[in-house]
Amino acid sequence: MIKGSKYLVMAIVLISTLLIAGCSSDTSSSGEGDKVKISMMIRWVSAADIIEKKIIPEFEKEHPNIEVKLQTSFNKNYTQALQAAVNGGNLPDIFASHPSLPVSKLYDLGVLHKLDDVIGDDKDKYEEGTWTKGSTVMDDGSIYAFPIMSGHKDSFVMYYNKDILKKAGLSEKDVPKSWDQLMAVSKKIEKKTDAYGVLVGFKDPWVAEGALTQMASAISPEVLPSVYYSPKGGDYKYDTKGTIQSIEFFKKMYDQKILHPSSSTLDPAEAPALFASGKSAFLFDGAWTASNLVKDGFKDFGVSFLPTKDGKKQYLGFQGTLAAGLLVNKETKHYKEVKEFLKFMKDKGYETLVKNGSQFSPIAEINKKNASDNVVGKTFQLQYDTFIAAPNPVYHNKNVTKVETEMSGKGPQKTVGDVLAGYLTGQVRDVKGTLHKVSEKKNTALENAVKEVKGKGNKISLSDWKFNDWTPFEPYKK
Amino acid sequence: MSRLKIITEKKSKPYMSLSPKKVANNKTLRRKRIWWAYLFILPQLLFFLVFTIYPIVMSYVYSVFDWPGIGPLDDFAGLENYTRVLKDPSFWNAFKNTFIYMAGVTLLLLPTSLLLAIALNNVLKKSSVFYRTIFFLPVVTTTAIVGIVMRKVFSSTGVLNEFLMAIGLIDEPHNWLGSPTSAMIILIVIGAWKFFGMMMVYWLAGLQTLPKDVLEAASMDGCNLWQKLRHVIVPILLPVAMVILLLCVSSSLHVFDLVLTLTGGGPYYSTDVVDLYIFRFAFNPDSGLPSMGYASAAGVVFGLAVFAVILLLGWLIRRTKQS
Repeated sequence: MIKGSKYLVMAIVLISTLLIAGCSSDTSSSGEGDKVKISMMIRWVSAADIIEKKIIPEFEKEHPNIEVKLQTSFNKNYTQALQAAVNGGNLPDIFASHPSLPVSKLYDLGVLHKLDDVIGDDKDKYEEGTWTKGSTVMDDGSIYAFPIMSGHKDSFVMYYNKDILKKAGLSEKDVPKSWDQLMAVSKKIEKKTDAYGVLVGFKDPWVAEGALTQMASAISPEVLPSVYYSPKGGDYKYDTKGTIQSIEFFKKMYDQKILHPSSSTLDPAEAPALFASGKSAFLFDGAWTASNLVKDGFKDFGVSFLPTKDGKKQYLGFQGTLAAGLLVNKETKHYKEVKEFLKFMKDKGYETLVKNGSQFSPIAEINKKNASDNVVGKTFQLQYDTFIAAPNPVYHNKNVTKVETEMSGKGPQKTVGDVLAGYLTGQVRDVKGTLHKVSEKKNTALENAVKEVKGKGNKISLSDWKFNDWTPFEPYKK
Repeated sequence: MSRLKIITEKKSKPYMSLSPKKVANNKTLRRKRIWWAYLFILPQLLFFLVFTIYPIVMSYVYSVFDWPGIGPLDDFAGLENYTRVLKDPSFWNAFKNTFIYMAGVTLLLLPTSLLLAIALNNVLKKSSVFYRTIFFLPVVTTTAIVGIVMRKVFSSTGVLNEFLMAIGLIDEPHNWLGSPTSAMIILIVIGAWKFFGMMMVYWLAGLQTLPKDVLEAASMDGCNLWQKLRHVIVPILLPVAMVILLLCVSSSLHVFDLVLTLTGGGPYYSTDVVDLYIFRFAFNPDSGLPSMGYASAAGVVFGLAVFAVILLLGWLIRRTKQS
């Protein structure tokens, strides 16, 4: 028995040692002299490679006493990783922002470090709207988020395959600007080649919705696309003429086999691959896809604005929302080193990201100097130009962020992308009625949340959502 | 080992024939044996408490809070989350789909896996190891990978469409996962195929317990294969069948990764299941903060429904055994 106990104790000691070794933190000083390790977790596919292979090595070369340990977690996994890190009290020193866990919520939880000294006197160099309250600046007037990319993202564009156009006897001059032109050109392409006209990967309905809502803005500009917020009405409106007509246009493309039949089952990564392999002449996708296509070796493509009903201008509202930012753990033991890294990002990192085709930076001057003149640079320029400054209720009242938090999970679950998918498969017959219900649910959630927040002693009213001084397509000045 | 053996041997002797000193020694040894038993149970018990009981208890706690999954539990919501879940048509749609999937998989899986198990046990005896391995392969394959691969197979440009067009059955590619009915059928078929090997092994284990003399007697009485199956094999296997049914039902009610990777719940929620519905609210909201409290309430409601089904099946098993 004693012999057996010895084995048992040895096994426990061995397992414990392995567990301790496995769980030990590497953010503290390592054994290599005074080298300090800082941890970083990000979620942007387009930037991860550049940060890992170019920015971090450059930084470590300049700062041999600091090592940056990068961890990436993409798409749906990032929210879970962040939730777990916040709950477990083991946030990395630097981590990416995510719309599902807004900066304001993390600020309320007291897990964020102030970053005023990182931005310093460069505040004015950033694009207008960057330092919006509730977005990057919190109630105490300090900056808590370091914007890593321009707020003028993410827009949708139309990519075209030059080779297929050529095979169909067309040129870049024939790239359609209106829906009728798109139908006509696509039919010509389908007659002369094996390719379909249009491809949109909407297994995740937000992709088709992104394109659709932008097209809808040319018909119903009074409602901010993508957020369905009507600044003049002070409410949410999904059942606009623009949205309904755009859904019907998708259905027309689907019925007339202009839309690739796989579209509804392709995820955001599969659709560009199919487009690159010549299965369709046009691809509706996000601006971020341009650099991925080039990275995957496909260069023979061009980019243009999405076609709209009559070829009219489309837009997306820029409401000062943080599109992509880096946040710092309040409990970091190495703030000095973290600050060095963020300053490096500001001074050299932005430039590297723009040059290598990740996204535009939040500093317009850097974009002008460093954006490439190839298709990737052109795509980001189109994206940048799509955004127009628009009202945000938070400009009226900072308590709006509390209402937004209160509304979380209580609004409509069905998105416009879902309604589109349902309409294409015949499960939704009454588009207007379905969208009207979505509007009703959203507005009820808003009214209830305002009541709830007001009930807790905060000054807030539905009139904070109204902006009578706004005109669509005109940049809104706060 | 040797010590345990001694203890067991000594325990088997009746106390009455031993002296009081020996009885006392026996009692001490018995107590020690019990302590050892508890020591061996302890790790499993700890895992059970930490990874099963604690999450169940906490999901009940979270369900009465308006909680996004981070920060303190300070916004008590009472039964509001439950009211919202019960009033949400999307929850009942996912609930209905989950039961359709469960019924489809069970109806498809149980008879087919039984037939193959009988074939392996009787006709294909010589090469049974090969077949068992082949049919068990999907069981050990990661479900998410199966989902991704099958999505490619059933896509418009996938192997199935190419094959059907090559043999002239269809003129143009069909979007199998783009239609609500075919998407659900494909999901059921792949779900059944994935666990076919496991069910077959359960049946084989049951078939091994069949008394040979009864089967021989049936053969001697002139029963054909169908008669043997109908009047001998199935009645004897019925208690085993009920356990297999229970396992099949409980596992298929918790389908998640296959749906997430194969259809994502689409098109238009036609293959949405409760576990996916919960996942969306807990970790993957379309906008705003996650709703862990609401997701927990949905989990509790569905958990109670599954529990009711399991109780019903448990009652059926008992009835079958009694009869």
